[in-house]
Amino acid sequence: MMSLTEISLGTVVKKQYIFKLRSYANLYVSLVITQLIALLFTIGGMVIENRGIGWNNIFLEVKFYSSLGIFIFTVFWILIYSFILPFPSYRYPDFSFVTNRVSSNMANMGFLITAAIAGGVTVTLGSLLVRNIIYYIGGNEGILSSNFWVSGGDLFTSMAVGSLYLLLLGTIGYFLGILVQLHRSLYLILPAFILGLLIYAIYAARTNPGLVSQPILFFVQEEAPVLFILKIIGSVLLLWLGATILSNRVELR
Amino acid sequence: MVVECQGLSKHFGRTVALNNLTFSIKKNAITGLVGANGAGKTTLLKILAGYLRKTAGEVRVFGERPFNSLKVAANTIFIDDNLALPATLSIAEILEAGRLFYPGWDHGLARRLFDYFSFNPRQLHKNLSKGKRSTFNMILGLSARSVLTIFDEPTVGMDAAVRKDFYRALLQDYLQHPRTIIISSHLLKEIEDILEEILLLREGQKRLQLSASALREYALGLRGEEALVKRFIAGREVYRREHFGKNSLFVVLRNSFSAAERHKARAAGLEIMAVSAEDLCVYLTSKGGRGIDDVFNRN
Repeated sequence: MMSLTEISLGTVVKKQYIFKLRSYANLYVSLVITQLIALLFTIGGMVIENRGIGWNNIFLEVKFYSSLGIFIFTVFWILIYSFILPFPSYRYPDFSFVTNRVSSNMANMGFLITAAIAGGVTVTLGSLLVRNIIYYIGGNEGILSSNFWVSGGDLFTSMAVGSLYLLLLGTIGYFLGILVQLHRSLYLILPAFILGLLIYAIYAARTNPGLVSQPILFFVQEEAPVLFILKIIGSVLLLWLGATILSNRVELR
Repeated sequence: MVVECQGLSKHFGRTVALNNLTFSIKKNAITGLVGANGAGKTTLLKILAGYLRKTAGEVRVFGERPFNSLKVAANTIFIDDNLALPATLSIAEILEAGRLFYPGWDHGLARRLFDYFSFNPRQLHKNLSKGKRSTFNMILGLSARSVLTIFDEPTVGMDAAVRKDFYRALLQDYLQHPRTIIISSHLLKEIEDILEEILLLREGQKRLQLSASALREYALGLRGEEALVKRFIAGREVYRREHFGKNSLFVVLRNSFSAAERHKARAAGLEIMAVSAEDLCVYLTSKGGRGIDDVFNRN
């Protein structure tokens, strides 16, 4: 005779989270590969700005190297992964074991937070690596000493801000991924809609610049750290809630 | 009662998969869900497992609606041919995942079955052959020791020896750890011996639910001269009618004859024979009592 087990939502989410970390460990391999490729681009000539000034027999060349490339690649990485996370091949295995739709969404969020932190930390470390590589390639005269050293506090801020942005973008990707699961036609409609939106944004940027820049500036221009964190977390929660509500009645197979 | 359904219906667009189904499944028994292809077996099981949502009616598993119920999920395992598992995990790691999730998981049993069927622990689930995959899924289903264990066509692709092993393992494990097991199959003969209860579906509706032993006694066959048979069966529901030659008729009908009536039939020269549970299920679930012969005998 077997007795029924009562299980709490928290326990299920924790187990699902562990299960996802184990199952999708290849995510981190792809993160490393993505950033290595970005690093190659950065070192190999993705110099953001190259200015030469010469007068009176003195020639001054200023090169700006930036780790922005690594960040942009990481953004694509998290967008793609978060978008496919709700796809059947990633979602159905949850239900082969123990879950409901809420716990599955919560575990996915936990997984995304982990991915965003991993992304934010590695992007920051990657930018240090860029400095080091340039130092070893170009010698110390190639780098301005005043900005070469980065304080621990700055590093932490950079990691935190990077992680928060990645989390926000990952959640947007996840939300869109959930959206296309609702109906097959959305696979077609969504890309068309996004493309249309981009075209409209380019057009609107000329006639009404505020419309395009406002949503971005809402995050980017926030100077108070607490408000910035609240804005990101608030948006993430809203998107997650939307994704959960949308997917809560979706059937399987 | 572990499972209770009241007027349960499920529509897919305009297709009616389940139509006003009312039944219950009792605790600690092996129930066979039998029906022809497209009778609604898989749809019903997926609703019980919380995969699909009902369209109308009521469905309760452990007293709860299964869709999005954690209680149902934690105490139920649903095993079928399309069991979705992460493509990245080896089959040994999948067993570990089973251990992580299921409170009653028996890892010793999982390991022993794993060795007995000589699985390579590092193999990926998607690379297993069809029969091997079914065998592995069976290990998962048995080792989970879920209060409600659902097997949907579990023996797809298994060879005869493994099929036998599967039913034997199921029975052994059930005797040691009684629980509610539902097995669906369209081959009743295979599962007949281990079943206690049989639920027969036809076109999304319940045709019959009774114990396996009652099913074997449920009907009988009559064979003899056409006119004589027809006179004898007048006013009774006939499940199947087959013509032999010009003048001979075989019918299958409900076993509701008294001893006197049987005697009379035999005296009149009619042959009375038992109908196997499997044949009966085929007759009961075929549309309008017609057989394949009717396709060829147009007159």
